[in-house]
Amino acid sequence: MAQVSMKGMAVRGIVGCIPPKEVSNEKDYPWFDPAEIRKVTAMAGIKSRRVADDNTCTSDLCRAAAIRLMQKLNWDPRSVDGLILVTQTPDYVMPSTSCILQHRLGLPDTCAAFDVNLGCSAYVYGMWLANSLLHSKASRRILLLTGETPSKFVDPRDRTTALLFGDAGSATALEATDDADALAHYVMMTDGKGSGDLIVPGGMFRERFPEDRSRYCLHMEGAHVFDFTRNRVPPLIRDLFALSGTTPEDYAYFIFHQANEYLIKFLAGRVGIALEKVPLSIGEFGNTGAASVPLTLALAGPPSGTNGGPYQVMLLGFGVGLSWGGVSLQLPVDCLVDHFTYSAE
Amino acid sequence: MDTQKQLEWLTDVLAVHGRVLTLDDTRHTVAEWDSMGDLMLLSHLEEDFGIVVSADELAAISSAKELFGLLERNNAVSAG
Repeated sequence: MAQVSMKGMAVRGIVGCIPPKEVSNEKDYPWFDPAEIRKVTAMAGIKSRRVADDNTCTSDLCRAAAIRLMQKLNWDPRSVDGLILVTQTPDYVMPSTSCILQHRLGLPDTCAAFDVNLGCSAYVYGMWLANSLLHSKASRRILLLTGETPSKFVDPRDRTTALLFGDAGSATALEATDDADALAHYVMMTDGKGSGDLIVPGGMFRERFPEDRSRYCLHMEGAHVFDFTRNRVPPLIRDLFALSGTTPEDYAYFIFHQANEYLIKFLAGRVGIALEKVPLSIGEFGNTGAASVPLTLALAGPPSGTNGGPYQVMLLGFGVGLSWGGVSLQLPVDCLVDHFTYSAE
Repeated sequence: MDTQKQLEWLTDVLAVHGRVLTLDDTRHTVAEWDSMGDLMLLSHLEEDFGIVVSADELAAISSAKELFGLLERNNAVSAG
């Protein structure tokens, strides 16, 4: 089991970016029965979502978030020596979108840049990877970009997926530190036997050009994913409590991947987490995949009552892969948390 | 919960409109009883009756009659 506690990383800022176009589950899907929409909305908790236009990719949302982040932190782009993009909606099969972003963000050619293909667990895996690089001194400043435009691979007439997903991007500034209190605890897990439960089967190299166009769209076995989440996430949270020596009372926030409001509340109840410590973005923005954890944190903003000190958060990602993981760490009260609406240049 | 109430419950959970399901209904006769329907059933079985079944166990249930058998085996008759 990949469990580790690591020093060496300071979180300087987190910015979420959402596209301007809002779609309403109730109003914009006349081909579904209204009762059916109400049912899905009631369980998943999703009323509206944001979708990117045809010319806007994940990379554009993440780039905008990164520019705002660096500007607000007064980071010179030339000081960034690591760029990690975690997404399942890159611009191209090749090259890596991170290479394109290195250029578009004005980062130096001494910057290591690479893509990671993960979705729901993206943010936790990206942070774990960045922490490893910063701890080993391989990098000093890393931009962790996570985002998704699932509206581009969801069939709008597929009732199992059409009402659930929204587009968003995020950027997180991570910096090496010698602060002994900067300790993050990670638990990372994988079970590829459920790889078919959330899959876009066509368009890559296993099925290059399938004739059935639905093969290019997301297929989801919702009941299996529900089952997986219900069984796997509570032990993950308990492992994180044990590894970090914390209890639910120590936390300001538990940020769950925004897959399903009913499930999030169920999971919180199962492990004794008070719901006021569980911010939700799913109602307004849907399941934003790789961006859901940082976007939810950015929307929540710093908690009240920190008295100027750092606050403890647990970040939890779970889903496609099947892949899941969590991190327990402290955020300084001056850590930038911000969000904004994307505007094309 | 009598049979009629069970049928109304299943009709509501699967968001079937225009009719109330009958004991003769199966996965094949109810278009709404697809993977989304299973997802709704998983959550409502737990929320309404405290019954936890796996997705595979649920997938093995192919008719309204079999589903109500599950409710009764789990003593869910009076829970609703």
